Amino acid sequence: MTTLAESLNPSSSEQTLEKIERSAIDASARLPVLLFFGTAIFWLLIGSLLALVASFKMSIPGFLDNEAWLTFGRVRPAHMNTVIYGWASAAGIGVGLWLMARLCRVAMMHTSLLIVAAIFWNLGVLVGTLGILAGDSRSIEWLEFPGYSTPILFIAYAFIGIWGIIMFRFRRPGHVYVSQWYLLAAFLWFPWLYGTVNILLIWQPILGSAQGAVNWWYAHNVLGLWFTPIGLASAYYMIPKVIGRPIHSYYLSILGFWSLALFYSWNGMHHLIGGPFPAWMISASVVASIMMFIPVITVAINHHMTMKGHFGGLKWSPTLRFTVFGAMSYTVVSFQGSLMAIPTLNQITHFTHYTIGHSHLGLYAFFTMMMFGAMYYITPRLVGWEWPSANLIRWHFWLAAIGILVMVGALTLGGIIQGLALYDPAVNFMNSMHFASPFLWVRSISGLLLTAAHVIFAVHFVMMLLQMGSKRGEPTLFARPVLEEETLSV
Amino acid sequence: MMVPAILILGGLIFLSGSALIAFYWAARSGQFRNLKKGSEVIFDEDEPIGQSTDRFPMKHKE
Repeated sequence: MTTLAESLNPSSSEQTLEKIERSAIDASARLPVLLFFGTAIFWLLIGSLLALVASFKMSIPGFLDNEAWLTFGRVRPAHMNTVIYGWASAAGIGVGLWLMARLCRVAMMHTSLLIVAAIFWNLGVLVGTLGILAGDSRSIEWLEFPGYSTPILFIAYAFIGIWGIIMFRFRRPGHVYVSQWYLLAAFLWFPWLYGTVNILLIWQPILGSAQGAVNWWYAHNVLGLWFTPIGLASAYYMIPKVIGRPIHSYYLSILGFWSLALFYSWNGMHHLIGGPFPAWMISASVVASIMMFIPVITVAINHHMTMKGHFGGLKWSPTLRFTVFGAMSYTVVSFQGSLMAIPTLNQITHFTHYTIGHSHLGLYAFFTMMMFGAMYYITPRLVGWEWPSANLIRWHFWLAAIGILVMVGALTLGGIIQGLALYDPAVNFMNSMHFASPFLWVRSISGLLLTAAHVIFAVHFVMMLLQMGSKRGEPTLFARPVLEEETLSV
Repeated sequence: MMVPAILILGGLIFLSGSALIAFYWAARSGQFRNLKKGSEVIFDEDEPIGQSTDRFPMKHKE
């Protein structure tokens, strides 16, 4: 065990030179990664419940309105922040930690840092969520957590960032795989985003409409520079590993990484088209949004061409099925996002349910499905136990996949109808709301499907931790030579 | 107002600088060369190319 100071200089330890087996790496990752996974799933359930309450309120205004903490203005931001920070970020951190250790090919060091980070992170989310429900929301989208909870999250995050850099310094020599680039970047980008936005909006709030610019710079970058790199890092590892075939064009994957790093942070202003901002800010953002076609197309070509001839793998691998669903959604959501930045289309979709559909496509159909896929791969290797039931995984997949497709479809269609109605001066404003209301019912019902999927996953995860079911083979060596031929011939 | 400005500008310079240094380092240390080999670093003797590493649990009974 090396001290923190020694870890700043890899040559001070001989640990790097030892050949450490995959299973040793997995064993070292067990506690911190499971802690992040377990708490993430807990927040996913809480977030789903809050989402259902908020969603049904759209159709039944009087639903649960006799308690202040259950009103829409509190439940809705509580939903958003529990799923962003409690679920998606924590799941992403768990997957990121494990991938980092695997790709650096060294056992996790200083796991106590990570355990402290997990405790602080969840404490931050808990304090923040209770704060929102108590009425302390900051009314800044994606940043509703009150000022007294954000420093806790930042401290938790600092531990993770420091750990990431130490791991990278200690990696076994050789090529830095594309997933590692994405992860290291995400580990550095998030504290920058979160720190900057907290300074400018909470600690020393800047004045006037500039707050909007900072708000959307942050909110969009959380998706693009935090969730996207983690999701893609996972896809670039899981797809090749599951089908046993290297990435189709490694050149494109590297081009995709560097062009994402170059263009993404300019994108946020496209949320403010038509707002009180200098035209150049909006124009620069629209141009950068269109430039996002470069990284997106490189990723899309790469994942498709890697999968080509191996699509049969979707039949047998839960990881592959969730990951490929996520990868396809990434292409769709990114294309949609670039198009939505074009001002003439934005005129229709802005301020409608279409945007909500778009964000669920990004955060759920892309990122969350990607995380489910990664968790199905990683958890057996940590617990030393196979998932007890294939049927539960199937139910989880189909409920989640159908649920999210219905939700995004309903919100997209409803949003377009609502947008066209809002845009037409002959249509009464109330009518534009009524046109959207059947689609909101569909959204609530699809939310029930997603919640059911999450409950199934949570139950399965607990069964996994308790090692229920019969023992099935070695978790680190799933593939059997017999099965290999079958998979490659598909 | 001074401290936040310094923190933000400092963060910007640090982040942009580290990105440039990372790019320069990657180019110099040959990260952009021999890309085919780069794509194969996630495979080794235990889990070679051409071998799947994941299945639905049920299949293990076969």
